[in-house]
Amino acid sequence: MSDRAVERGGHDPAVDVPTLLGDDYEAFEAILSGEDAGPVAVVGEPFSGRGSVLDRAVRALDATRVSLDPGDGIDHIRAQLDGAPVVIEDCQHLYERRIGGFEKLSAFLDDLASVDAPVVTGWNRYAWAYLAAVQALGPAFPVRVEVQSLSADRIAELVLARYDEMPAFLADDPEQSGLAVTTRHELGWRDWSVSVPIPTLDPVAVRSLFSDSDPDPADVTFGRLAAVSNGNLGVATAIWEARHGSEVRPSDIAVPTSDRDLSREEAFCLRIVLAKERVDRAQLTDIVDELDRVLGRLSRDGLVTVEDGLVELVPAAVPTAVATTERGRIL
Amino acid sequence: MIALQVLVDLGLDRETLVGIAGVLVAAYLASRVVGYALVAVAERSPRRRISIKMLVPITRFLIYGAAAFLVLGPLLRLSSAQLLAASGLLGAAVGFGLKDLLAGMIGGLVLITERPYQVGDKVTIDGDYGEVTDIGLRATTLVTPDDNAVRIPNATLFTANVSNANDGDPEMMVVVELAVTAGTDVDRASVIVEEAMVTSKYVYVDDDHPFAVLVEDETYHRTIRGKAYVADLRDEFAFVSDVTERSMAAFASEGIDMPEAPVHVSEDR
Repeated sequence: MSDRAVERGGHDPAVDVPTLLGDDYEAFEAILSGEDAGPVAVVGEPFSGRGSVLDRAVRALDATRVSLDPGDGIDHIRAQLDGAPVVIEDCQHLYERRIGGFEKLSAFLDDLASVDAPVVTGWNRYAWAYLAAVQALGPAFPVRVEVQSLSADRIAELVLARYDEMPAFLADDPEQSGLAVTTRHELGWRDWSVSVPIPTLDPVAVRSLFSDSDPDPADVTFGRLAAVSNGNLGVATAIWEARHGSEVRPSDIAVPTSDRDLSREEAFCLRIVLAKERVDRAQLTDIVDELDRVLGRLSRDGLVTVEDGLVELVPAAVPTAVATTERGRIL
Repeated sequence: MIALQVLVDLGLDRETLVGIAGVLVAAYLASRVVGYALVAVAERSPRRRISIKMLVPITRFLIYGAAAFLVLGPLLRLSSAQLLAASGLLGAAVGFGLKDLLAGMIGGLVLITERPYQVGDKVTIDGDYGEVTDIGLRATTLVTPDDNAVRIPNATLFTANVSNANDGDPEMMVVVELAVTAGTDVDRASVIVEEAMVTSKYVYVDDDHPFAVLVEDETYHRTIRGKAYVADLRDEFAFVSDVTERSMAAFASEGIDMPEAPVHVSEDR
């Protein structure tokens, strides 16, 4: 069990909780003030600022903070459920996607049912969706709040606040950019295949076409950043930091993508890593076939990192991971 | 040359023949390209895959229908008497020899309008089970789990029951059955089967697609029947295999016995 509560809270950007929770802030404050009771589930995308919301709960409730890591048991949690307020982070590590993998979660929910003190839990959104479908997790938490997507203006403000020096914002070269963005798709028929370019409209370019004045390159850049990251500050920051140089153009805002379709096994492995954010390689051995090859391909595509027996999701790869696994309808 | 002269005598000059050939070739190429494009688009959109694939036979029908109109229209410049005579002959031919073909074609039109099944559905027609891969004007093609292509005349619609496993949806319920001995821990076996299903890479669960595990008492064993949906009906057998393999491995590690041989009760008592 990790006692890195303060460190983990520092990884999340300092965003005010009302902005992060939006309409759910009122319900959250009701719990913190004691108006409402019941375990609370704080659900959010990876790297979206769940930690900041949990920081608020720790301060308001003067609670003990427990951060779960892959493979952690529930004994330490049980010791904290002694009547005092508790904040438990990364509860997605309470389950594993295998036969017998829900025992810890089931024991935790049994213990939670008899607790009177405020308990605030943090969950990865994709793990929550899976567990709500297959383990009926929802009814165990009468209060559920979700971390919301941030606007482009807010993304810009928070990203730039991290740096002392401001980059130069430039527009894309009009000769290089246009209304169409071309992607290539491989089409095959028996032994014959061809790479076909398929043009799609660039929404930013279309908007600028119909606007009366040239848009500010900074606005265009952060608009693209917010769209690509889906308003996720952690992802936006990772994408921002992946670019290089003192100049930035809208076309510099890019996420890791794979130029091929992932196999079912690769997409399944990616979905598990997306839901857990970080997972022991040993856990995946029993779940994913040909794990070495799968992890090799995913790490070459820049979607995950594998180090010291730990498989972690690359923050900038979250949009790609979500799109790929949702297209394959993997729960 | 003689054949060519015959055609010229019938009023079909070289330019007309070239035009007819061009129309037919263009129709063939158009139907192949459009069909290929629609299938490629369908594979990129899992939720609408079956709906998009259903357009393939419809567009092919329209393309060939247009080609037939373009070819036959200028050719059959018949007078009223000739048209009447041709109709009478055609009616006799249909009545005596082509009634089955016509029944199939009418069945094809009924398929398009009533849609008891679509391309991509898993259906059972007259005892044959498989995925519908093509709906032609005369017959429907199923591909069975053994990868056999079965062509079923559309006229069968009027006489046989049609069972549709997914009814146009990409997800489909799949049933997995495992037998355990009568004295084993049935509750634990049920939990194992349930967890095997919900942890599968192929499973699809939401409020409209729930899962369930049932226990049935047979004479000398118990049957654990798990029911869950797969996200893509083409993963039906992969799901069954995945759940079965992992359940059996868990049974073995937890001492849950499965019947080893069929049980026969001797009639000589």
